[in-house]
Amino acid sequence: MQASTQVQHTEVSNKWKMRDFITLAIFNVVMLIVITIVGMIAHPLGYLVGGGLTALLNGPIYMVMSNKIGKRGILLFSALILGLYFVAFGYVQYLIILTVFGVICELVMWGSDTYRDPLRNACGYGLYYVSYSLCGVLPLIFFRDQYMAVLKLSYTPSKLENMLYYYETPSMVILMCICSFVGAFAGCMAGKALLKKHVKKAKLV
Amino acid sequence: MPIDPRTHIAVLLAASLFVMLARGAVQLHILVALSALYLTGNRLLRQAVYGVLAYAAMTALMSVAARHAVTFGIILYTFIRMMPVVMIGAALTGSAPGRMMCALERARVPKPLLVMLCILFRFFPVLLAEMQAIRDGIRARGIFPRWDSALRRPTLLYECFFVPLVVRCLKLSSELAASAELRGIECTRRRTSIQPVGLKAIDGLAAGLYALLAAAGLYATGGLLL
Repeated sequence: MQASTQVQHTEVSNKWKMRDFITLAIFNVVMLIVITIVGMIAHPLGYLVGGGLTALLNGPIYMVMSNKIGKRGILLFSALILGLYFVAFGYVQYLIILTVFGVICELVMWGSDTYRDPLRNACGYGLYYVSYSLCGVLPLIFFRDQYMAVLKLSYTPSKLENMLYYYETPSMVILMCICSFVGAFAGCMAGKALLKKHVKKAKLV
Repeated sequence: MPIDPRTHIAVLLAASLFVMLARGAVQLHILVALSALYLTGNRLLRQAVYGVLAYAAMTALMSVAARHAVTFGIILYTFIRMMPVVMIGAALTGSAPGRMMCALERARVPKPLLVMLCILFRFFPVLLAEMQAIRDGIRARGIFPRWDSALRRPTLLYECFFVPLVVRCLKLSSELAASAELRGIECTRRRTSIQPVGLKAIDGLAAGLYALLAAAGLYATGGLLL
């Protein structure tokens, strides 16, 4: 009886309300602004550390958002929003890759109250940013000819060569993923400290 | 009758596709001109003029900057390429939120996604203004007196900038959620709008003309990847 009540309670608390969607959307707008700014400023080193730097800066924002909402699906919905944002700029492949990885992130976050656990959050969020870094790599593996034809229209030969060096060299891809994961992990830990120091003290979460 | 938000979204997707397929400067000029025409047709003359002026200024700056500062040139190039999409996006953000929600609800977009999309479009300028206010507050308090003070203490800079922003976001989300719930956002009945909503012949004409002229322009000036 007690167990069934507990299950019922978990089900109720995992149901998304409109205010959760609103919170998620507002925080994602901030994260998108950071992604856009970092993507432009960190352009020369962007391929390698861009994802990690973005993850580091967005980490505390994500931690506040996940602690405020605290329900399953945060990473999947965030991945969908990020994917839709890139669709507006013509990168449809980002939406597909991010959605698939969003589902994997949710599997990583499986369990009750994981979105309030800093370590689990760091793992899920790290994977989310690894997927963000892989958005440029995966189409080159699976649809190389078609993707190259499109890229040739958008990039000058020198820029394309530079990009392909990072996206096609396995060591560079691994380094890129490690940078993203480490950045995300550090961001989440910084977020944990920020939550404790400011947000929880003010009873905002 | 103003053009339906669904048409703006269709044109936005078409614009982003054409931007991806554009080979060179001339093709971008065509797309910017068409986007300006689209904005003018939507009675958004001011946005059209601003868009064209910004594009012209960036293109002029690009010709100088590319020779001296490569990084700045790349940033400018990214902005220039995105200009047609940004201009069509201005038409979408210019639509009233209620009208946009009503139109997208008729297109059977799930309500949670609809709410998130509307917030995405409406809150970009709001949050940019909040960021500016926080930056002004930091300046007014003299936290970083010298230009290099912020570079010397990046952690403090992050804390001073992002903590107020996060708190503001939490407040905004609570206030917006309360307001939306009071106005019946969770109501399951079909949404109505005080402003006209509906796809008319003019919508098809506007989207069709944009796509046709853009495709013809791109094809005539260097071909399309089809």
